[in-house]
Amino acid sequence: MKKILIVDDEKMIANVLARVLNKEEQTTTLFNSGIEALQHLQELHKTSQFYDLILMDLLMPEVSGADILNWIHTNTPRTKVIMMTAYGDSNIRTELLQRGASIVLQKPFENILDIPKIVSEILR
Amino acid sequence: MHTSRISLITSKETQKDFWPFLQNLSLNRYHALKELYENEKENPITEVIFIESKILKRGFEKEYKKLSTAPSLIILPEKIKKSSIISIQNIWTYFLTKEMSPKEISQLVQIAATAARKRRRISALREHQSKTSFNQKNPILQLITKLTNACTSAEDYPDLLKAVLTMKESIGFQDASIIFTNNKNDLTALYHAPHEGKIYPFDFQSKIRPSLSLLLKNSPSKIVSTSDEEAKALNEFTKHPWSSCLKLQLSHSNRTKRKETESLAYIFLFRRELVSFTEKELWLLELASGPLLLAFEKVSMLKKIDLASKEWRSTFDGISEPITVIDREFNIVKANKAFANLIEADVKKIKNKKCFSLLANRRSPCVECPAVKENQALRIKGKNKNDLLAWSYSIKLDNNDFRFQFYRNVSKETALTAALVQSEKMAALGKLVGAIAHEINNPLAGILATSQLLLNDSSNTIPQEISNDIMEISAAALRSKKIIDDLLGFTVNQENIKELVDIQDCILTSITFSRSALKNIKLNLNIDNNLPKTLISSSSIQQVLFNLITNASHAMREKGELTISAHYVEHDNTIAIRVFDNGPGIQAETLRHIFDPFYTSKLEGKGTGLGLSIVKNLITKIGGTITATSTPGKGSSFNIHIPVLNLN
Repeated sequence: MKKILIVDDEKMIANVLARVLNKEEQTTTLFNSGIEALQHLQELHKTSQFYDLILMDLLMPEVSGADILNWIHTNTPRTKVIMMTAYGDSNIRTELLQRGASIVLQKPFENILDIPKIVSEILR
Repeated sequence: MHTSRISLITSKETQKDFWPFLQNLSLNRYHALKELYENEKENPITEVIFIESKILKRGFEKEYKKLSTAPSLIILPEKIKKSSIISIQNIWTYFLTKEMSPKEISQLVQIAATAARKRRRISALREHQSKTSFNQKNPILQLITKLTNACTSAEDYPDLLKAVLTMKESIGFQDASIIFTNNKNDLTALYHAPHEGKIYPFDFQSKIRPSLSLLLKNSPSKIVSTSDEEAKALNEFTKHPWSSCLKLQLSHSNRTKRKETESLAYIFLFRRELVSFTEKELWLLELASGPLLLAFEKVSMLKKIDLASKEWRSTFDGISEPITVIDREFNIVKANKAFANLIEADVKKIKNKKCFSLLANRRSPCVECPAVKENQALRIKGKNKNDLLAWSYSIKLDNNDFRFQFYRNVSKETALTAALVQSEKMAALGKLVGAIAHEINNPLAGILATSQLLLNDSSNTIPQEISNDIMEISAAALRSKKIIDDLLGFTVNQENIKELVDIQDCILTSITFSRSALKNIKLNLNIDNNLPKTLISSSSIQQVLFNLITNASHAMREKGELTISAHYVEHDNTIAIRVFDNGPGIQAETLRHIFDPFYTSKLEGKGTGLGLSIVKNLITKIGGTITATSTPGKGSSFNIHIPVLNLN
């Protein structure tokens, strides 16, 4: 059973993502705030638990996706990260990939149904 | 008050009698008129004579006439002969009576003294006139008159020689020359007046220069006769026989300060018959040297003024910025060539026209004209839609106020400023678009994803109508996404990585990407095989070409012929890429705005109007240029030049 965490302050997206990713072989957890998600990750980390994959938005208030990515990079490097951004700057994209993101997805997605395929590809 | 010079001429007894009357006057006392005459023979000072009638009888008239000037007479009371009165009536006389008070006498003396002084002046003037009267037919006077007149009217170097020729008869010579040298003793001009012909300028050749220079150097005094050596040199230009020659040197050598810039003049008088010049003739020439020197100085001065004025004019005209000089009524007194060019008028037709009429096509002075408002530059919209900046400088000449008006054509600067403002606007717009795009993308992502999910999940359970509606939502969201992508493409650096790129590869990749757009289009490629590689972002070029190809395909309604050519331009080290189609072409008005953002010829909703603007942005960023040309009905062509840069 793969554990997937979805973090996006845009509830609609988080919900849709949870729906397409909620399959028999994987569980999804949802957060609409970066700070809550980070606290949650830190709590889990105390009991040496971690997510297999995190999908999160780049720009969120208080704690951004990049902040969480940094935390993951140092604490639970085995967690794969898919970054999502509504901002199209290629420099940021390159930067995120260097910091350990597996892929950077441009919002809006061309087709939401492609996302499960990308996720399974990365988890494999 | 003038103190009258009074003499009292009486016997001693009579003097005693009159003393009370005359005590307040200062008197010279005599006993006979003869004594006064003897005393004042050299220097007559007496203005009023008090004379005793007794003395008048003793040969008065004879003695009185001996006095060179005529004092007024006041005759002391006593009977005199009638004949004596007649003989002295042409001089001012007054008969004193014993009843007169000292004050009355004093007044009388003043009147008498004034009359005497007046007579003395008249006689002095007459004497002066008689001494200075001269004979108008005096030959020396005639010579000087003619010479002076000629000198006064002299304006140029040959005129000086003309003045010399007025002395031809008086001095007796046939031919004359005048030679001018500069302060280095180099010959600057030579004029010769032969007896038979007109004055001609001598076109001296190099061979006579040294000999003449030598001759001119060795001149000790003002007027000299010529030596044999000098004669030889002079013969080189006189070309007629002569026996004796006089040389007169005109110089202002005593003005050492100005000597540096002064020129000298030498006058030569040639006599053909075998008679030497006499002392008198030399004296006449000496006499003439004064007026001639003055005339020479005047001509030199005129030449200098002329030169200075030419220098001023050429400097004025040489200034590339337009300048005018105007008077108080805004009439143009002077204008330089740059000004004439600016208003596209003949420089001669500008004078006395109003500056505001010529420049700005106005009927009254420009508001806030710098000629009126001090220390202030003014922006004027010129006749030819030029943007002018005007400022003013005040000068006073002969008590008249003039103004130097300086102008600068700032049209280009204005255009540049406008472009700068535009680019700043675009940068600000870019930031705004970026922010808006981000804000919209998030909810849009939700809408799009949800609608896609609904269609996928529930296609079997929801009614077809609702399914169709969701499909509409999904399509609209996708269209929105496309618009935002375009907007972001316009403002955000997609790729910054520069590498050595083969343009041919770029073109081929772009064609691969555009395969669907090129489906029914005949593609011609005309690419040089050995294009140099250039340091550039390949994705930029690919996007540019992709946009151009897609645009061409749309223009040709996906049917037609598209040609892409690329070749190296050696003279400016660029690669020229040309994309041209045989579509319907672009109207001139559209062509003018084709690279403006949000300008589109496509139907609403079909295009954002950003495609070509992005292209222009990308090309500009890599230091290239892009132009569009089109012939409506035949097709359009986009021409790109990108600089060839290498790693060094």
